[in-house]
Amino acid sequence: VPQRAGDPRWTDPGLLVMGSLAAGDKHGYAILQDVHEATGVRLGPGTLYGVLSRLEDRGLIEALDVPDLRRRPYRLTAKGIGVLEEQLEGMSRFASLSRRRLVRSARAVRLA
Amino acid sequence: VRPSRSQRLVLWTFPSRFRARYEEELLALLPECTGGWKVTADLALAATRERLRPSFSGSPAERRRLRLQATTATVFFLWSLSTLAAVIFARAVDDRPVPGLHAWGWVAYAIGSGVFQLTAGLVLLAGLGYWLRVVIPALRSRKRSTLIPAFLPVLVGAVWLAVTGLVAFLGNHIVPGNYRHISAQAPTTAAGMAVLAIYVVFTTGCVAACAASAVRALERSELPRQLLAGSTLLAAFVSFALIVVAVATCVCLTRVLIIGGLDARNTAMAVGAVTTFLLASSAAGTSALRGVRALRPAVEGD
Repeated sequence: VPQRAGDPRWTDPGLLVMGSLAAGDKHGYAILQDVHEATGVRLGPGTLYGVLSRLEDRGLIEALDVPDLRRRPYRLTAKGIGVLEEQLEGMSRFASLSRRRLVRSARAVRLA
Repeated sequence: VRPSRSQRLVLWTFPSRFRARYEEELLALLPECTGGWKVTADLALAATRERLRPSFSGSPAERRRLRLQATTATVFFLWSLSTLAAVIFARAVDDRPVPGLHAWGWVAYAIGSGVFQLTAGLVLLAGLGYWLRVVIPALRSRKRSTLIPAFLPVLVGAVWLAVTGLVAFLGNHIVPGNYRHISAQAPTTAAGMAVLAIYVVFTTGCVAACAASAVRALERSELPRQLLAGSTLLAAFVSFALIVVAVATCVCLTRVLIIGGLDARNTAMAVGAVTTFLLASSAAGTSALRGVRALRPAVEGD
């Protein structure tokens, strides 16, 4: 089903960036590419660096020291991994529950 | 490949702290992003978010200092833009007073006008003190990165005055005797309207440039927390005053719309001004609340 503006979404940019970094260290452009390939969401550069700034300030990700500061990679910290696991666990539980409810209500609709 | 000029201009509007940390990476990333104006719009939105809800790094004490600095900068910038709205509202409602605007409509106008003039006096007076506090150490240390944005408003102000004088002169030259009434008369020809539109855009740009430069100088001067506490309290007062002005102009506009005393152009100007007040006062109020929260006594370890 195509998404329309105003439809509820699960694509919080912070979570998308953390999910992308769960696969390994990445610099800004690699994160944008990965998020787009994995979810179809195209994050803008301003949104990305706003998110990186917040995640870094909260200690959820950290920048790695590299000679080329223009392509500085980021990685999840231990705290970030914990937060991501917690969020994904919650999402997973909610998704399973919602799917079960959806199946039940679809059955009820068919019976009616 | 370099980012476009508009993208570099938008990058300039991010807070200094954000630019120092991420500008290199963004400059490298932007040429690789396809999307044209959408990328620029995304950057502009991110810059606005960083201004309205900045994230801070460093020790708890430094975070609190940055919070106070952000509140001072945000409220000052919004107040500066509100001065334009104040002039436009006065031009629409009062330069040729709306017939029948009396009783509570007029009282609301007078309250809004008085409160705004009071804030203008306070901001200019305190602003001069803070400007000197920024400029004197920068002059001693010859810190150009602070001096240039600190003195830019002086240059912009001089250019604006020169252009305003030229517009007034031309107005009088084209329509003899117009000079005395230039604030009360709107041009009637297409060329006159075009000149007025360009002048309004130019003035808005000048005000925004002056406010942004002052903010940049403040950010680069890294004032101590004690000084920023004073400016935060003033910012809280100015935010409260802006809310009062927004409510007063809303009441006045309601009265004006009820009696139908304005033509379409002046109505549009008044509605635009009131909308600006409402947006600016709500953003300034939110920022001031966060700043005042950061003024509370430090917790252990701060």
